[in-house]
Amino acid sequence: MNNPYVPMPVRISDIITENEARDIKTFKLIFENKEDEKKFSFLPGQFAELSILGFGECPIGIASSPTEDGFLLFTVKRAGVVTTRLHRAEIGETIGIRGPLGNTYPIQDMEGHNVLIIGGGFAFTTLRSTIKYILEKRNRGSFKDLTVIYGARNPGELIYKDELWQWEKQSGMKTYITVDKGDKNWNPLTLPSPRCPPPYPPPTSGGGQRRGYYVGEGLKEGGRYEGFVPTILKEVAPSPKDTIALICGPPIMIKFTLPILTNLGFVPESIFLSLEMRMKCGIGKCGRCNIGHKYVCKDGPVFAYAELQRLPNEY
Amino acid sequence: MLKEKRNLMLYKQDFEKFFRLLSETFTIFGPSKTDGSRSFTKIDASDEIAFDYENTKMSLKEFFFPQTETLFFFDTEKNEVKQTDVETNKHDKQNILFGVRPCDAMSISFLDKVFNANNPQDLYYTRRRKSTRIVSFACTNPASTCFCTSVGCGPDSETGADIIFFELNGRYFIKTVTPEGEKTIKSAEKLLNPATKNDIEEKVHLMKTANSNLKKIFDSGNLQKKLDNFNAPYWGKLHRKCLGCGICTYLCPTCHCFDITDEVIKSNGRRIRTWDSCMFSLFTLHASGHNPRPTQKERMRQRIMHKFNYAPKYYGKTFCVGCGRCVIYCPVNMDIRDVMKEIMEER
Repeated sequence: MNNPYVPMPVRISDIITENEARDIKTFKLIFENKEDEKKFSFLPGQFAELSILGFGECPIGIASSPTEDGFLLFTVKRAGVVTTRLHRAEIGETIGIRGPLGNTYPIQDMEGHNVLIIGGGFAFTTLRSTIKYILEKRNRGSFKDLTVIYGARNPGELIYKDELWQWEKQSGMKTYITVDKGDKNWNPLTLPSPRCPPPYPPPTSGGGQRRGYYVGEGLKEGGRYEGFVPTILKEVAPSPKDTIALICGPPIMIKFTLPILTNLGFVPESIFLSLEMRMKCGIGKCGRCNIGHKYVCKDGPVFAYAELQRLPNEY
Repeated sequence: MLKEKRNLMLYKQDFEKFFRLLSETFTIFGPSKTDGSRSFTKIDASDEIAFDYENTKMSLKEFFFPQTETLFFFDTEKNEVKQTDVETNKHDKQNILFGVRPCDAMSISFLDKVFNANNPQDLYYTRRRKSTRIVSFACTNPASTCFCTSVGCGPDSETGADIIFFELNGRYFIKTVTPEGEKTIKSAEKLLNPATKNDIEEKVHLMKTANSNLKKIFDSGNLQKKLDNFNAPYWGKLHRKCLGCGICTYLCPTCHCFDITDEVIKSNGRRIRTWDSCMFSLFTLHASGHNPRPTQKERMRQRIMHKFNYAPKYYGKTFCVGCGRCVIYCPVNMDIRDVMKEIMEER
């Protein structure tokens, strides 16, 4: 009988420090046993429990896409006992993994529709998985337009930078990257094209430090911005018609993003959010991650906004 | 399911023989005189059983879901996991839990929904559950803190039991509830006689009296609807005297929340699961410092809601069997029956 509490061994084959604060690292994991790898079949949005013997477990979203063969990626912020220990891990070390756990983004429902992805900070992980999944050649035809809006506090806190710069240039998707506050290197990265006027008037007084550049030289579509995600979303959101929106980010971003989507005409059934709660078992038994009568670990972490509206707004 | 539940009679003077026959195949656990019927302990002779107990202090859950349980052992130096041999676990011998109160038997049928039926199955719980027969003892003399009839249970409820005993004058009325129950008493068949019409009448009368001693305090069906109001004003005051000690959740036969932690001495360690409680502030504390249930108000609401609103929606059952343990042992006399009344009366 399969014991759902025993982790499978995985080797850390690479560690990437993602941000300037150096408290977010991406771990590339390779299964020690081929059978375990075969069993670990997942879709974007799911998570797993990473385990370090003697320290414990923590639930982390899977950042790699099922289309990326042979390895898994987990982007982990240093916060508690397990994640601090994980940050001290070395390449070659063997840790444990339990999963895949939870539900997925509604991949099937998204097929044949436009997809709008809204992410903030280091919560971008399972959204990266989704983007990679959609961009995969054999999947790309199943989805219509892909729009990505991603924000972080400052340029140094953006994760997956190399891929972001790649996505900016990639055809078939629009990538909008924004930071709360830019730095001296942020502006030169996007030269405003003299041929294209900004999409909206220059900031008026009291409008904050919002600056935007539209279709820079060499960029297919999208652009880099300074401002909060909801503000940028308001400016650049695609038509709600035929579009499914996925959101994952800090609560404050979600709080201000939802009304904007609603005002734009997105119905609650077309908005999906990924939530987090403290978890232990990850399989709906240990009883701590309730939101209303739902368990975030088992019935989530992905919920339709329509479903969340039926649940209590607190826990 | 059993096509026909059999009604059988056993004379009290034959009980000792009955017990010996059963203990040839089974290890028998029950409320024992030696520990003041604190919990279900191993019984070696029939006269060790405390027949006069109202209910054990500890609920039955610890038998299947112990307070601390090793999930696996490990060696941090070798970075190796050594699984516990759940196969040779003492609970893998065929066991009988004898003298279970109907409320506790019902609570096990709820825990089955959490650990047994749901995918994935909980190996540790399932193994023990499979090897254990539950023999209930109907309550002829319910305690003043019992409120089983308010939550869909009762002094003669058969849910969760394989066999149920009724104590009549000088003899036991035995009803087999499941096929496993039938198999359990097979070896003692010769001591049993079919119940007569008189026996049945005596039993019915006995339970009528027991039932009439149990007042129905609230209707758990209505309660669920009532509790749909998550922001009702009573949440602001119900928790005020609660100390957050968690004793209600530890003694509750249906509370099943647990924590998973690692214990290490030098390089030898084990991953254990231990009972946890929604009444504790650390229960939902995130590593970031954020706590979605910051005060006792939210924790108390979680406990009540989980039992009377979430569980009915999730598992189709109210996760309370009315055993009254939380009423008896709460250090500040929080009485869940009063809480329910208050909630029901709120307009």
